[in-house]
Amino acid sequence: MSTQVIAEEASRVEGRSPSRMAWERLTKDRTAKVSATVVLIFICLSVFAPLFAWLTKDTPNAFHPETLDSAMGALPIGKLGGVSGDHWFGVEPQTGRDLFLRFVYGARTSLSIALAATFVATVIGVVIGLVSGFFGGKIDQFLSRLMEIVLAFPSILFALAITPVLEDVLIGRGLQAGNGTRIPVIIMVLATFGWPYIARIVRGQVISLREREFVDAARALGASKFHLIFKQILPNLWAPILVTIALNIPTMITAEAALTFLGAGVMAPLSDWGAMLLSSVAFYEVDPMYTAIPGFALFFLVLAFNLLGDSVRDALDPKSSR
Amino acid sequence: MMKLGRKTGSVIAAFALCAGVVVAVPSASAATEFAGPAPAVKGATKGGTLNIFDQSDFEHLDPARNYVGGALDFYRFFTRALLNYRTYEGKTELLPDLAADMGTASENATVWTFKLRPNVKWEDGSTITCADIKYGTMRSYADDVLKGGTTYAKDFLDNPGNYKGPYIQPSADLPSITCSPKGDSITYKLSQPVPYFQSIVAYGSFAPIKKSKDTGANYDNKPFSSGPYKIQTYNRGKDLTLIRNAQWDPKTDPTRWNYPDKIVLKFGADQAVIENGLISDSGLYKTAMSLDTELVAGLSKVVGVAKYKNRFLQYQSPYSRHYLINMDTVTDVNVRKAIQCAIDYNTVILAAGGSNVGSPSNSMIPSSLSNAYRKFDICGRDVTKKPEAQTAAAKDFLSKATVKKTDLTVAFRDKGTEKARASAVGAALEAAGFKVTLKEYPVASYYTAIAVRGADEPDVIQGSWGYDWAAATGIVLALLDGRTMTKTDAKSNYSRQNDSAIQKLFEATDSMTDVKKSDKALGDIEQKTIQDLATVVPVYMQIANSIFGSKVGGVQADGGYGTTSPAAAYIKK
Repeated sequence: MSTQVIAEEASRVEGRSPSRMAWERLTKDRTAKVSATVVLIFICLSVFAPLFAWLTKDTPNAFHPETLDSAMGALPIGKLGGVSGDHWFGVEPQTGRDLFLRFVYGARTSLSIALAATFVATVIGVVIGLVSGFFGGKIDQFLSRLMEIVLAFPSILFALAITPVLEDVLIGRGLQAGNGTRIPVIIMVLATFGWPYIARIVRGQVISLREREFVDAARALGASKFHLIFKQILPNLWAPILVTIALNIPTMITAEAALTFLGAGVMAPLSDWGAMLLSSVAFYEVDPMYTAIPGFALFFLVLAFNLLGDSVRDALDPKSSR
Repeated sequence: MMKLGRKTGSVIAAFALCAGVVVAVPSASAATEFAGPAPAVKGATKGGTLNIFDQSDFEHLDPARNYVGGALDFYRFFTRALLNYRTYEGKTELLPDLAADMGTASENATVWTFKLRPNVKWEDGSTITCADIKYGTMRSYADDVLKGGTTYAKDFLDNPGNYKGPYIQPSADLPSITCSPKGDSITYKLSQPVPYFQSIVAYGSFAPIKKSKDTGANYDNKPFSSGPYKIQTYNRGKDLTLIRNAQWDPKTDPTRWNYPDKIVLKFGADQAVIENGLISDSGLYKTAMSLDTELVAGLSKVVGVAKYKNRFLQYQSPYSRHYLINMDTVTDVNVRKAIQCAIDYNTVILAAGGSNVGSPSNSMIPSSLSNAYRKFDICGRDVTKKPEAQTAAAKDFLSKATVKKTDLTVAFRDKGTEKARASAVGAALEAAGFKVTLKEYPVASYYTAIAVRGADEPDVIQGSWGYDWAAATGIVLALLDGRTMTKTDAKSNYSRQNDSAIQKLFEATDSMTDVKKSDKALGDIEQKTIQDLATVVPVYMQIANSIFGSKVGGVQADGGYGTTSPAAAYIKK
């Protein structure tokens, strides 16, 4: 072949970076595409919740007494729990609040708390995992024991117990009672029980990375420990960190819903999937739609996140054993 | 649990019960026909275990601290008093219990003497003495240790020496109570004429307590029995088991029955669990009932359906559901009027369960008390005709306020439909421009917590009240008279009402011995506090909907306490 053709061929056969290859693997994965779409739909629903409120000229907390049958225990009038053109998902028994709006605002509450808790847990987990894995020795021993102790706690029970206590402490220091104080407490508590999962994985990765040649090379060149940790090792951790984030979000969503269901979560009247589940239990026989909505929503969202997380992990490291 | 108010029963009083129950109070001179036993309940058989499933434990079983309707009815299984109510076949009477007669009044109803029955025994076989009855009342003065309960003893007994209770003054005496030398009668000297004193002695501060068994604040955990049952085990918050008390002699007691062998209470299940369990009538629920759980979500399945007819009990209860506005924290009357106008009667009643659970009412006094009940407008309209929120009027009042308090805390209990109702009020208040925080309290300490003055006081309190006896003195005095309060404890005056003009009107009723006159005066006072002071927003009068297992008989609406009662219950074979 002529040199020009060879040169053109050469430019087309480009080297692909690992991230590029991972991305291509991900986009070829059917499961990843479907689950990513589902996750995106839920995120859009929660981000655009105020838009839906504006469209339907309603709010999630507005009572609609005319949609309820007063003589029949204040249950919604009509089939499927009051589904109609005005109320796409029907209405809540006893209050008449629009369930579609409560569903999207609930998605907002549950998702934002879960994402915030995941973020905080990730930051804590990455820092502790890095320090523990890099320094080894007594520091590693101490931090590893700490991780094990936190993991050993029955987290839901403890969260149930400690949330009101923490809240009282904060209120004692002058914060207002209400969701403004309760939500940060929930995020803190969820993050406190979530960071060890991330820390352990990060620690394992750091231990395998710190003996690699590029780290040795940097060390030989006189790099400080700080440089080694944050400029050499941390950039190579993004893959496992991404995977743990994707797999931790559904755990946080479920944990937040469980906390609210058990009474230690967000306070009324803020809409939340766990709160919807809790109030719907009394009506499951006479108005099953009311239970089905948050139940199926939680199920699909958590499933989608889990599948997406698995797909991301497969894409980033196809050699990892399932 | 519903809180109970006070009772007057001078001659005949009418209750707001569907069956048209009349409380008969026999005249003081009829003495001999008060022997036990109570007349047999039709079809009742002895034996079996009655199961009771409640959402929450009782706040107090100590007679000096018990002031909640369902608990007052229930604890008669092991607590006897001087006089007591008996509801039998739809009729309610006040009868001698430990007393042998209905009491004799003298000196313009400031001195009352009751003959006592001989040979009535405690659960350990010792005799219940006049000294025990006197000690029970002396102990009720100990506010420091025994928080809660009625204040009748302190309110009405003469106390020139300022007696403070046996824990602070162990050797002091309360001279206004005297026992006859043979111990066969007891005399009370009152500080003012109280023609309805007979109704008052049915209350816990006049129940006997054996001094050697007085465990102070722990008495709640194991009251010593004088009734047909005694406590076998009591795990607070979990379960309570009553077994037969062999020392109770039915011939000395015309007010009680003892059909079941055992009564087992379990606390802690959710509203939905208990409702569905009782409707399903399976397992333990076949022989069960509930004292604090009414049908709400399950109402649509049961109302009017033939197969539940025999085990469904619906009656107009004397309990009012209302909102009290804290005058100490919401000081501007215009803000309080705005709150009154903002509340939406429709959404609150729907949140409670709809028209089968309550009917809108402008007063806390039931309409059956014809001399006291007034029909008047709230926020310029008839609440039965226009129950919707008057949001425009609310905003108007709020703009006229000088001390604009727009941040409000709404207090409610963690129970049943309370959260839904509080949410309804919260939403209605927010529509009028307020910023609302809903504050949930645990059931077991609600009434104590919301009465605390000086710290953490809620602004709007979700409350309920049933009269202690069928006259306005049983409602208005306890709920609105500023004299019940202390500096740290609002007692039952949750709205902290203490307006000087209103108090003058209250003082004028002290000397009224004629029930018609006092009913009328108190009805007027209630109207003034609602319309002019805006301290209360009455919303609805409760309709009770109870369901019980198919093997339980004898469940009735108690005319004395207005609750679904296990007193005459039996297990069908």
